[in-house]
Amino acid sequence: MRSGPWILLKLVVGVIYVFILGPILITAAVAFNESNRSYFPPRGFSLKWWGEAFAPQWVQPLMFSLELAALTAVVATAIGVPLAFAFQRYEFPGKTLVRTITLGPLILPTLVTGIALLQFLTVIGLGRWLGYWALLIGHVIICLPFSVRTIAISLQAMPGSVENAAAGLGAGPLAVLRYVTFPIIVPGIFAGMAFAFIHSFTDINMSLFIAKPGQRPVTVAIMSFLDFGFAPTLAALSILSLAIPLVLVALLGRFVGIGNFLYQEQGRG
Amino acid sequence: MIAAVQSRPIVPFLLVLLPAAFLLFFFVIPTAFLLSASFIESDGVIMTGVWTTQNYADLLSRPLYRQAILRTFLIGIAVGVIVIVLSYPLAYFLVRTTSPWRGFLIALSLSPLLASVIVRTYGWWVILNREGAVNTALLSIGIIDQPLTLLPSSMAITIGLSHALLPYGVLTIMASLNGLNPNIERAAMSLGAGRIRTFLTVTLPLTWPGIVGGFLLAFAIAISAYATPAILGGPGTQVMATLIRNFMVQALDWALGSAMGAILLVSSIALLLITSALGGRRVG
Amino acid sequence: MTRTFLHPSRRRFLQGAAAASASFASPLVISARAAETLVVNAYGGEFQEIFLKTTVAPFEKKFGVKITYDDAGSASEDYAKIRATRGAPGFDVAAELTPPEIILGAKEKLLEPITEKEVPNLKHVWKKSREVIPNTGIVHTYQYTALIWNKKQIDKPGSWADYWMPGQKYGDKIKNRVMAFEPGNLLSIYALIMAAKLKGGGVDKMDPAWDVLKAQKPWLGATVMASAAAAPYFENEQIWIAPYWSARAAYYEAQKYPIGVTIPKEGTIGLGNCAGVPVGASNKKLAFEFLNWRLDKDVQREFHLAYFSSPGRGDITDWPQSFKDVQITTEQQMNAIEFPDSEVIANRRRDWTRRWQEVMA
Repeated sequence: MRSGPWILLKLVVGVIYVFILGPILITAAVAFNESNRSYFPPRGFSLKWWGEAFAPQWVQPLMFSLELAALTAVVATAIGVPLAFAFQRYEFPGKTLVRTITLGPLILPTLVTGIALLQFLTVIGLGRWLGYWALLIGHVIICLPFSVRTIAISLQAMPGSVENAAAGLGAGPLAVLRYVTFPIIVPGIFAGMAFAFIHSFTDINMSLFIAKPGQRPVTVAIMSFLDFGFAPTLAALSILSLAIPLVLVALLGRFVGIGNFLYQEQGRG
Repeated sequence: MIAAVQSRPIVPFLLVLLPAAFLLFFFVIPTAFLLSASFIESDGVIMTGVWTTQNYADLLSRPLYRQAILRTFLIGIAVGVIVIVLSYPLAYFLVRTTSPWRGFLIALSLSPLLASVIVRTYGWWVILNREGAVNTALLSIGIIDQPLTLLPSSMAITIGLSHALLPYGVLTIMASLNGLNPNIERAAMSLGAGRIRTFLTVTLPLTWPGIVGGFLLAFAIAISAYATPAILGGPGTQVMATLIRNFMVQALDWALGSAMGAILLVSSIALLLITSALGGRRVG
Repeated sequence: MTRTFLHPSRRRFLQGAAAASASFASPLVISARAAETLVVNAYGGEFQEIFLKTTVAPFEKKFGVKITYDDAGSASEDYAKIRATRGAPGFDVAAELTPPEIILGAKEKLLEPITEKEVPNLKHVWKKSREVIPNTGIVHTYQYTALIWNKKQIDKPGSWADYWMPGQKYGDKIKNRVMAFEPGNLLSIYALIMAAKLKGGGVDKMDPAWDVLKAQKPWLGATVMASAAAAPYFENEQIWIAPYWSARAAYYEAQKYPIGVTIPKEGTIGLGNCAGVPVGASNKKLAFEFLNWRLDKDVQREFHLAYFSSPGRGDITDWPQSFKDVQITTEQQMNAIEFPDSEVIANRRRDWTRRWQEVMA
């Protein structure tokens, strides 16, 4: 595709990538500072802060974040799939209301959702016994809109005609679901899980409020460490926190075909 | 586009039942409970238990708060527009390119999403502050002779948020482009339309739902964002999320905080519903 | 999927790191069933290091218990948590609160009332302590609002006017070198009270302060919320003058930051750092024990020497002279420090915050 417009497009895209990567690379550069100060451009060169990022005080919250995010992703998807189906394939009374409610956690600052949840659980007597679960439930709530949306989009992209064709060829409704619908939307489901995972992994404001000591996501640990100043260790850790979900997404792309969801070959139709 | 696999009305009800119950119990009721505090009289410290609309009157009558509300929505709209303007070319490229690096490039375009707010805002702070890259460049070219104070400002907030939310636009528009039947474009071109004309008259209109969807998503997240406006903005550039946080966990004034939260929720939902109706696409 | 999602060599690294960490008995790790546990919430940063060393670790040793340290949140954020959970926020001791939170705790009945029965060492605290807060907390530390300045760049400020009207003394070079704090931080409130006083007002008459603030606005270089957030600005010399808590200021000065600490000639306002026990704490007996320990004579001495703050009890006499020179160690000095009516501040804070935001917008 050597045409003029395509080359122009590549140029524009290049500039956009500079915009995207600029701030991130700057922070990464800060992590190479020799001394324990965050100079930019970095002074000296050292890899020690990257090593610091693997210290136990960071590994523990990192592991906690990963586990919490994974659990959130699974639960949010489990709840999101039936919702997405209902939104995309059916009309029913109250549909707009339910759709709007699903959007709510996106619009309200997560701090407010967190305070509301904590207060409510306390009032109905469940506060003391739901430490970790309050955090999980809170994360699921704020990640749900993403799951639902992504799965709904994948359903939308799949024309109902395929399902109709299968039914027309004699497949019963359950068979259609199992052999036609699900295989096609599985990449969409995994995309939804990836979104939910990322949103949970990077959440700060709700976690800051709800998390208990000893059960802290890495984002909260980073915020606490900021009390000591913005050290290169934080820069290194933040970049590593970026790398882990990135690796996850890339691997999902290779093995589950989430990429198919994103850059499907135009062979259909 | 709706293919009913079943036509029994009980099915959607069953599908929605458990998720809706979950949302109701853990989101709707708790939030309603908290926001109901907005109708209770308070002297800023203690709530008296008397019902009143004074809190709303307080917020809406003062220019300080009205400006913050306006600023929030203007930034939201600006971010939405910037996101779709930047993400469309990127999405188009990523969908149409045959480069073997495509997967890597897609993952790379998601990096602002994955980077923590510290990474993003610190990076922007370095670029936009008085001794940062932008000022240095502008000074050396000679466009200005004094460094500009780009931070804190609404503009800095808008840039920071657009950067953070770009991936959402990219993914939404990519999904929309993927749904396109390529034969339509081929048909148009075989009838004589050039690439650009095809794009403007065929591709763009057909992916309009994706554009609206991307705009709405970026807008919705931008208006509730706290960290970026807090760090790249200042006391003079409050948005609703920063005011809400100030009220809830600094001033401990939950009456005003929940009133502001209610205003945010109600006006955003109204705006979103209107926009998606105009955009011809259902919300969500 | 049988592939792990971490690259093999990194995974091995993490496993090694985890194994290594398990071999250290860290006080920050929740220990198992063996010892009684107490969750203490306070500040992070350099405070944490000093606090752990002088107060927390000796307590653990003496009483054979394990303390889980919660460094999240400012005083008001902690109270928001206490309020949301109706007094069961997950920590047993809110070790760093300020008078406004203690007052709220009394009004909303979310903090335990504390008397000499629960905390015997209360009989040794300054008489002032009883006036500064209601009985739902203890005052364990005193500080005052000092002015800090960059010794290398400007002369020592003598008056609060040198901060509020900096152009008068320092001229144009001080532009963008002045720091303000948001009213969520008591530093801001106290500095504003001093501004009102400069113009003949005070806590009860704050109107003049807003004009002073407005005039100061063009000179401001940075506005922050948390006290800790200000430190980098002093260190990299971006800010040359600011109000600051005496303890932290002295600590940074000792760390060789290029700053000096002083009390302007008009005097200053004192802060009582408080602690309380939420009504829903799971281990109240031990919590009260911890507060009592905080007021222990030796613990007080060790902590305040390290943190450069003034003691909560008046009966410690063996301070080094250099300490006595700048801290509050006698009844006389204590009486000379002004403590504004925290009730008044609590009641007016909403209005003052709004006025501040309006001026700064």
